[in-house]
Amino acid sequence: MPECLFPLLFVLTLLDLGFVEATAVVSGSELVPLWLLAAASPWLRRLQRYWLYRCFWNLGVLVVFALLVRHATTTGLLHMLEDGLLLAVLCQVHLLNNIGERQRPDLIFFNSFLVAFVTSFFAADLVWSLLFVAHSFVLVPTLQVYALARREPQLARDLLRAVLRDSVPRTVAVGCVTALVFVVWPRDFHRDGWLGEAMALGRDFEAGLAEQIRIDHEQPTLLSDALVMQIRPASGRAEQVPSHWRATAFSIFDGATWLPQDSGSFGSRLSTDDPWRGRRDGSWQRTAAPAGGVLQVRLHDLDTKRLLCPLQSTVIRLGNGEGLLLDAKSYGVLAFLRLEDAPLSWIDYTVALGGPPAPVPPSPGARAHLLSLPGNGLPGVVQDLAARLRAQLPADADAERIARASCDWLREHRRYQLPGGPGFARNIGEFLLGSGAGHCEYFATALALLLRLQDVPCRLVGGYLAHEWDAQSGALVVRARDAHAWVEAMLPDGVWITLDATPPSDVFGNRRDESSWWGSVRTNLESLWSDVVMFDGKKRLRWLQALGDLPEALAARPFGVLMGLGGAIGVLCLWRRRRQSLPAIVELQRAVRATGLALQRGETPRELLARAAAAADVDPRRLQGLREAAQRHEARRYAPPAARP
Amino acid sequence: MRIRPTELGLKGLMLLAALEVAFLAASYSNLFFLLIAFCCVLGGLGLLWAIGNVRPVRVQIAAVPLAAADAPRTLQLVLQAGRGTRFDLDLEIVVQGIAVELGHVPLAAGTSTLSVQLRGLPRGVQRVQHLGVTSRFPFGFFRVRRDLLVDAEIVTHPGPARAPGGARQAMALAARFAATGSSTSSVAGLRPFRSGDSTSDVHWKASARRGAPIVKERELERGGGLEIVLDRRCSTARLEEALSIAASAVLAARESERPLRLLSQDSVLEWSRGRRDDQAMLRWLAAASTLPASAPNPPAGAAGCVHLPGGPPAEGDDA
Repeated sequence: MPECLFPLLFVLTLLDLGFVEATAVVSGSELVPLWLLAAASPWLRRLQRYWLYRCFWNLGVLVVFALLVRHATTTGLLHMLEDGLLLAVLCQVHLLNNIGERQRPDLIFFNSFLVAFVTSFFAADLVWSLLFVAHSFVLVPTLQVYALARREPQLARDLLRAVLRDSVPRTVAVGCVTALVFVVWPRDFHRDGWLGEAMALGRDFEAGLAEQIRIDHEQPTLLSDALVMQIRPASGRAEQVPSHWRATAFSIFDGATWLPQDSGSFGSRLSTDDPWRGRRDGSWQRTAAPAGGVLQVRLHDLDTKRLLCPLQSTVIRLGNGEGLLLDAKSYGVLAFLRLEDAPLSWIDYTVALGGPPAPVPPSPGARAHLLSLPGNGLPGVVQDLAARLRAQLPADADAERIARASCDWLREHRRYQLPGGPGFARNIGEFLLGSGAGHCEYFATALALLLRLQDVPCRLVGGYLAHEWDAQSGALVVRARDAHAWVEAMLPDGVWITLDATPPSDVFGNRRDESSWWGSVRTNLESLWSDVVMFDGKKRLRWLQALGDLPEALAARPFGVLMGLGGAIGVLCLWRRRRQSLPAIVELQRAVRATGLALQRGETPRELLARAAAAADVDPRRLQGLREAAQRHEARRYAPPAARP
Repeated sequence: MRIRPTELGLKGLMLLAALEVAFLAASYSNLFFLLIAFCCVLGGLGLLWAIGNVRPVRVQIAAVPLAAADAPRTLQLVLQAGRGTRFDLDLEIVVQGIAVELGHVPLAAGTSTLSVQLRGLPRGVQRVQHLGVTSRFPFGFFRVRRDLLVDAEIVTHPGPARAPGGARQAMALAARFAATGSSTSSVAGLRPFRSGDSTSDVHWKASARRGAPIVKERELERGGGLEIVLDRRCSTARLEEALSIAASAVLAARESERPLRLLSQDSVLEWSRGRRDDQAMLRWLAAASTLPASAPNPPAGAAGCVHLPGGPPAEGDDA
């Protein structure tokens, strides 16, 4: 391997480690030794000429390899994946540290690409995409340098610089053509593949009952704009309105379906929440005293059969309650029954907010109920993940810390996607493994299972996410597409906390952090990357149509097109002029700029050098650089061709 | 233009095939497709760019100096890279079906003159069939070669005699040149101008009288020059040795600026100071071949001329 290739291979290996780190499948502590060995490779590879060191190194790699293989074959799927990724990067670090002068680096190229490839299934997020862009910008020049260094093991600095400069437009071109192929190439976005079924993780979950949340269906979701309710805060400030509005709580999970908490008979209701009590004035109140603001709610969708309210509601007062029968559910929501002749097209009510809900110490039965797991077992990946997350926390970590750690992990490491598109997980196992994306129900189910496996009682809550602020009416508008699922965990003292594991950037469509330029850029990049991951036939058609309409759109903006063309021609001219400059002149100009002087009209490089030498304030190192550049300039321009360097 | 995948390209192709099979086996995934598209585009554009790296290159052989057999020489090449910069160009010439490597040009821009070393060739006048430009740039997946037609010949005259007898004779001839006196030769008469004659030999008065250029014909002065009679009716080995001795004599004559006349069947070649076609004799020696025994005798030389091959005819000689 030519020596000049090493720095580029070094960067490729670091990027590979970054890919694996981004998956979060391998814990950071396991990767630290590999990071260190990779970082030290410029020094460590010099020791390879010592026989004893080589023996020690190879023995170490063999032992680690054997341990990883053993671990992978004797533990669950999640560990197998973890060990596989560790093996891949271990190979890469080993190759980087051991490649000799006579060996080809082909395997490093291929292994590096494979690491990028495999990790794409488990960390297909913005970080991975940025890493892949960086990887491309390193891989392409590495291949170029390799092609050139085959005959010139010691590339001159100028030549190396020329190759690196040449690689940039090539990488951009490769990226653009790839994007074009990605958009234009016709394909079946719902193809199962020859081994589609065989490769799927075990379907442990079967369909359940009615009135349920089923998480194993992949039907495309219709995002309806139908109005569900409007929430008008008395203060006029949107920040006062809680985001999560509860409708139903689900506490029983049979492996595929969540059943409502009150699905049993009335008498068997669990006492888990501060109950609603009817008052003489027609309002409903809980133990906690009002402490927050008052919200005026108009419920348009009466099919919800619930008076939607946040967890911290303390008083609910109906505005037009004629023909309604209310039933206080055990999970802290008021259900209503509408009489057939009730002339209602909406329901107005006010919600007074309080502090945290009053704790209700859980009975052993309720606690066991909220910790129950499916009778037909869980995929190993769920249990592995729960054990690993628990192991990352201190032994004395309290329930709230455990709950928040699991919630944060899911939010950071799993992808959000609506069902029906390519890349959507086929079951909770695939979602937790990271090979498929999921929507809010997957996030909530995964979190609930992880918490129950870590002995934290919890339930899944269905409701709506209020986030669309209508400034004109001064109200938050909740639509059908804002339906959401999240988790409420019960702390040992009976207090409920809300945990939403779904990444906020995916569900708070217009509440993203766009205040800073970075927030705005990140939002746009995430949106773009999300379009790539969830690309489907409809989007392809839309893009093709946009491409077809491009000439028409350009014709409609002649001034803009002319400006753009003018700018492009200007850039092209500058670029050509720069390319036509001899490298010796470019280098000389750079050296002159470094000294802080300027070449005067009619002044020769030697005269300039003399002037620079006479000047007292020129850095000696830069002066030396200028002297060398001037000499090279003369040699390249005036020496006979055969004598040119 | 010839295009072949390199070893790296073949390995990459196998990797792509494996990924393609995995892609078709698994259910559709956008990222899977994107990465396969990236690989294909990298390979496809790599091929196009490799062709584009070689296609505009033009190479001409500016000068081919004479050289003795098996001795290296430096060729002057004019390389036109066309628009833009070209990288990683391997140059080779094909001479009589044999590819001879010239060198590697890591970077070329505009028009440049290159001095490349050509390894030693056997005696002869070799026509350059074409000049090959090969490149693996940019990604090293493909090796693209383009053959350029060039009009040039490479003259490789006999090298110094190696057999002990031949070497001795060559040294004796060289010593004879060194021992002689003045290099000037007397004018024997006038003759019409022939291509290669020096302008200093032009007899201006006679030219003016006759209306055509006339030059002075010089006679080899006694002891100042040498006449070699080369009889090519012999075995190949003896001819090679004789040619080596003759070549040594020619080089010695050039060095000591003594006139030399070489007589052989159908050929009379002269070299004297000031003649511009001083390479004609070496070229003739480079191209000389044996004649059958039935061929006519070589022209008779003057008294004291050197006959080659010398010594008794060896076994296998035609004569």
